Amino acid sequence: MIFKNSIKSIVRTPGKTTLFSMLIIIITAFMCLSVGIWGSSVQTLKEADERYKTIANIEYVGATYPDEIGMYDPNFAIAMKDFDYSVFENEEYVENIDRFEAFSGRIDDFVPNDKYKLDSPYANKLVLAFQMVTVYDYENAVPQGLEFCDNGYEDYVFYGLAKVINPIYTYKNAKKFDKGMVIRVFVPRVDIGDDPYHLNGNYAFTLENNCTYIANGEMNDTKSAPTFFIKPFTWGQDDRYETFYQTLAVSGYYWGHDADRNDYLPEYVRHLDTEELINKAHQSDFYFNESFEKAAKEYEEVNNSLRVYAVNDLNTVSKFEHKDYIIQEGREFTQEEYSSGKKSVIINNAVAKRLKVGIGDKITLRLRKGSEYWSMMEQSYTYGTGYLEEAEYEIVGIYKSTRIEEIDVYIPKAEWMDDTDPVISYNIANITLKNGTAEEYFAHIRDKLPEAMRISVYDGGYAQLAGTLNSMRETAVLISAICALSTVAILVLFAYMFIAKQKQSVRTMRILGTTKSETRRYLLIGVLVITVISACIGFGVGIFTSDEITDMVYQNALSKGGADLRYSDLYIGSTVEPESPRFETPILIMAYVALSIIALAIIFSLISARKILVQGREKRMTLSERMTALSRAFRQSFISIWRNGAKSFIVPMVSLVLVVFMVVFFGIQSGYLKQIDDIYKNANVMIYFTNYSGKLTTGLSIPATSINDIQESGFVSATHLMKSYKYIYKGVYKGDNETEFNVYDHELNELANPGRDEIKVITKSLVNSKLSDIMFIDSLQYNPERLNRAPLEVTYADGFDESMFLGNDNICIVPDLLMRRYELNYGDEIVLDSIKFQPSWIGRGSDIIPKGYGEYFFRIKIAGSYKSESGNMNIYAPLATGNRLFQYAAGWSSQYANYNVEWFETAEVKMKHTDEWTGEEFEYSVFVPAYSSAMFELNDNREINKFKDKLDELGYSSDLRQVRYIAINDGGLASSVNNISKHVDYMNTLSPVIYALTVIIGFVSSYLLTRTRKAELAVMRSLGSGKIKTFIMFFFEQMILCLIGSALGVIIGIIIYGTLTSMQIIAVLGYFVCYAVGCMIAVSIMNRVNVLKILSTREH
Amino acid sequence: MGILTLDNVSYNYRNRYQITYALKNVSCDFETGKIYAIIGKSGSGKTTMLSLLAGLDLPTTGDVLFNGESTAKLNRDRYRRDDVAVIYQSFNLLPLLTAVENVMYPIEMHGEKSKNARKQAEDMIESVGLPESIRNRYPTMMSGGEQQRVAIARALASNTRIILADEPTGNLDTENGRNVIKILKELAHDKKYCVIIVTHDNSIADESDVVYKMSDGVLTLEKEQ
Repeated sequence: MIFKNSIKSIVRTPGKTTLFSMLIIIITAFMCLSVGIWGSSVQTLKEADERYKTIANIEYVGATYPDEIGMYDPNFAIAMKDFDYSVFENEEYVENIDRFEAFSGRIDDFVPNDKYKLDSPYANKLVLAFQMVTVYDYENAVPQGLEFCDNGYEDYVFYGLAKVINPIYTYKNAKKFDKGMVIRVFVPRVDIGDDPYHLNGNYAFTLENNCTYIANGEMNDTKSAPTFFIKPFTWGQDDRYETFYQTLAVSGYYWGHDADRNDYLPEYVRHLDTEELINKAHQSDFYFNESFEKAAKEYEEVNNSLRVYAVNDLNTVSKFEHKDYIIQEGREFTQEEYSSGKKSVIINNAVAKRLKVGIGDKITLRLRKGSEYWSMMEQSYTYGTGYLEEAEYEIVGIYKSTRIEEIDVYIPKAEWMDDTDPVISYNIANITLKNGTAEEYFAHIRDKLPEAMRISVYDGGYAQLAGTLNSMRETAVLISAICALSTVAILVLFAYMFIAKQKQSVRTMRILGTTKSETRRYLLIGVLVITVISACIGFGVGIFTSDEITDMVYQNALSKGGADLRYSDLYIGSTVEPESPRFETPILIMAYVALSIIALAIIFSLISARKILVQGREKRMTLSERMTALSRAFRQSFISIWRNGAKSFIVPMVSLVLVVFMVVFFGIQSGYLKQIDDIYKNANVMIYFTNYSGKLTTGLSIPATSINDIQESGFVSATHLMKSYKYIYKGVYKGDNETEFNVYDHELNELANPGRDEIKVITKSLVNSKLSDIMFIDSLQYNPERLNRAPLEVTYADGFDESMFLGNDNICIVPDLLMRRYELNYGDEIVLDSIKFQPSWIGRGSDIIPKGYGEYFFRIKIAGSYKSESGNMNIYAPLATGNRLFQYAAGWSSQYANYNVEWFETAEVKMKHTDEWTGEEFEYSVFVPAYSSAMFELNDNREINKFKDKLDELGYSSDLRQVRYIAINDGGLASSVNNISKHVDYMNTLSPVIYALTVIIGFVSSYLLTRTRKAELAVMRSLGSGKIKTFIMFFFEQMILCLIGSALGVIIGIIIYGTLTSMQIIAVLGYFVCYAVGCMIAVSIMNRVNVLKILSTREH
Repeated sequence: MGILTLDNVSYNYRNRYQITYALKNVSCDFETGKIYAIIGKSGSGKTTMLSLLAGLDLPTTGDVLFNGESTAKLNRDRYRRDDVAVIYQSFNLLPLLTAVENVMYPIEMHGEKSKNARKQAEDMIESVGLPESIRNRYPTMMSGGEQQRVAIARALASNTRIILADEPTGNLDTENGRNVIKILKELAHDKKYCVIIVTHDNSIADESDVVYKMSDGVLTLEKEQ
């Protein structure tokens, strides 16, 4: 019966039942979702922390950077001498420090195809044995080979046709140089004279018809007829031509000479092939220049080389980390292989396919050693000590390249490799950091690193993901808190409406003899039915929508949460989109939430039931005791406040709590906003062009149009450009165009004229490592070369200061080392020879410098000096000076018309300058080819994210494999601002909720409190008080109580927070207004109730 | 000794302003087969006395005896369920139950099954002169007289010997009031109930067998037939 009646009680109040059922469904669903999202985000973050790795890559930005295996760099050697690697250690942030070694090597039988061949200066090299078949008669024949005159072969002349006897070495196995093929032969000539195209005589040497020769040279197969240029191993240094070609046979006799260069003709050898000829030569006293074999071997080895990396942890290698390489078959190295240096190898799938090998097969790998001086890969074979190791390696893994077309080989690093002097790599260390600590770590070690050492971080998107998940978690926590409060409020109201409001029925039931426990059961059954069914539905809704809602929250957090790390210099090349995480619906957690809501509803109901069941005889309050001053509304308010006792404390307490909360809340919010303002104001944000690794800030090739892009974006306030050139110091200018050479001009000569037994190739890398730069800049303070480094300590000559860089005079500041070395003084006018490379393509590779090209001499006066560190010999001069000087130098660029046009782009770049004395602003233009570096300042740091959007729009990217790179040196601005912005966002989200709650609280508390005095109000009305008077009385009473509470709340808020800002004042006033609105609504409703109806209802 | 006895009962209660002595040493006896009226002004203590008789509260001093047993020692829920029925001026029907369900309530409390209880309830409703159409109406859909008769029917359904009525005609018109008194008289005289009516209406007192007057908590016998 009790159960039945209980069910009837809820079914027969459909409105109330439906309302509260819906409310409980909603709060259950929201609580389940918010707690579920909270749990999911925490769990996913934990998984992400295990899955992602943050690797800090430390590199030395040396002279040949970014070439990873570069020339011997003396500055690098100095910097690394006695370098203490413990500077990288830090227990708080570092998990592991890894240094790998790089070698060059060969896999036996493996010849890479054109796509995979490494850059080599031995491209097109040949060693051929050939027999002359036709020697041209230049008196009568049409000159041929003119097409080569302007292409680096001006010193050659077409000699005749020859037949290939033996292609001892041909690059790319060129078919056109196969045995029996007819080729055109060009020989070097001397004494060009005034007419470069004069073809008569003066050849370096002669070749006879029917004679067989062996020679070193190059091929050129751009034309249909294959062409062979006989070239020395070195350039123009040794005029003994037998060093690079040798006669093997003359008219059927093999030709030779002994070690003393005496010719003799031992034997007739008409039908012998080259190998037999060579064998013959070996067998006798015949002097056979073995350089050909050595050269051929070197070309073979160098041109077919691969890069071999010996690693301690494959996952710290950036290409694996960035997923450019993915293990396709087999596995990574095991810990045991790392620790034992076992001969296991991981190769590219193209190599595996070519060699027809697979997992478990063995390959022979030869590792080469470099020497201190000739550490360049291309030359390490001959001039080192040969192979370091030649051994069989077992294939344990095969990787595929997803983006980069390279075929590196990976082996575990063995102990013996530490003692070698391998090919030098600028990679210093790869440090595995604890996720999320990159910025702190960077701040920790930045000042301890040598000048040119740079750090970049790759975390696979962890920072972005973690930021997003944390943002999700915080949102979920916030919503959970709000939901929890709402849940409590709704359940209290639910208990009131379903339990307390049945007081009359409970009384009747008790009068009729129903026991307390039966009555309690009656009350609780209804509550339980509603709560259980609604909570289950809410739980179901939560489970069903969990995936979509979680994803929505994630996407929302992704767009707002997490620092905007695009272009941040620390994370350059690594702001990849993290994989979208998979969130698992935490069903158990959500079930607990639903059960908790049910339990809470029961608890509140029990409390409410207990109250009405234990209520004794009600007090009989006669109206006459309360009605003492009917016509005096205000006096009555005070009296009623006084006599209401405890009830009168409710409103002030509620107001006090709310106002304190709002004062503190909005105080904190305004504090945060001020913090953000300060951060933006004090941040020193610099934007600069860089290379793909983000470490190179100078030595770039930035077209003027790219600089215009940034200038015209509307976000930058200042631009700082730099041009740099390699220079050779020539001496002090003595007037009359005479230069006093007080030092031997050995630098370039040394490059051009190596020792006799050395094969040396002049490359850009070589020059880069030997020569310093003259840098034309407009500001020492904003010199990109000094980014993140201490400024130069400069001493200026009298009359000069930093403003000199804004002018265009031929003045400069030089390193004190240079001053001492050449005994220079301030005011000396020095002569510099600037070197400009013959461009092949921008940014990479080695270029050959033909002597005589790309040099430009100019004079410049010393206006100051600076303290040089680590052997820095750079010279600094005004940018406008460089523009002016090198405009004249542009003339010699015309002969490079066939080369990369981008290098010669001369778009107009507008520069602005404000004269600090007159305040006059003027514009000037520069017309120069690409800049070595460019740096910009923002108009307003607050617009940094909009600027990043603009960069995206312009086609820039900080992604690793884009062509143009911009980095922003924001010093963690994004992270700092983001951390605080998130709080401000939450508060902004909460603010309207708080105000809405205030209205509701005002309404509910007013309504409930005035409602208990319904009879009082009815009697006052029945005795003649008008609606307005009664309204004023009750409204005034409520507002006084609210005011008392609010005033106390403001005082307490000030004590806690310390200040009262305008935001806080507005908030409190807003609260007051909202409470008043709620109160007005409540009292108005009360005032409209039928008086007679109230008076005719008596309660016992 | 009658079925109900007040033995030197006093009752006082305290509110914020004062202590009120509602009953002062009241002693009287109530027997079955008679209809008693307790008259007095508002605030004289009549309703308090009724509450004590109904077992809703216990006297401050003295005893309320039911069949010689003090209500202080009885299970007062059981007492109200099995031994005494109360009718109020404001009817006190359960608002969410229909007329027949209200009457079924005490029947089911005694363990009767629903079907039987319903039958009995319907008979009860009929016995107090209400039409069939009233059965499935909620209290808010009935007039005062109808509600009071349902309350009487519910009281009868309790199957007790004592009926306590607190101003049973207070909210009724003259005719309905007379009808209610008539029913109560029948119950007392014909069915040997002990009916105790608290009222300020002297006309009801005229219909009663015994009249007590309550004045300032003191009970005095006015009339006995």
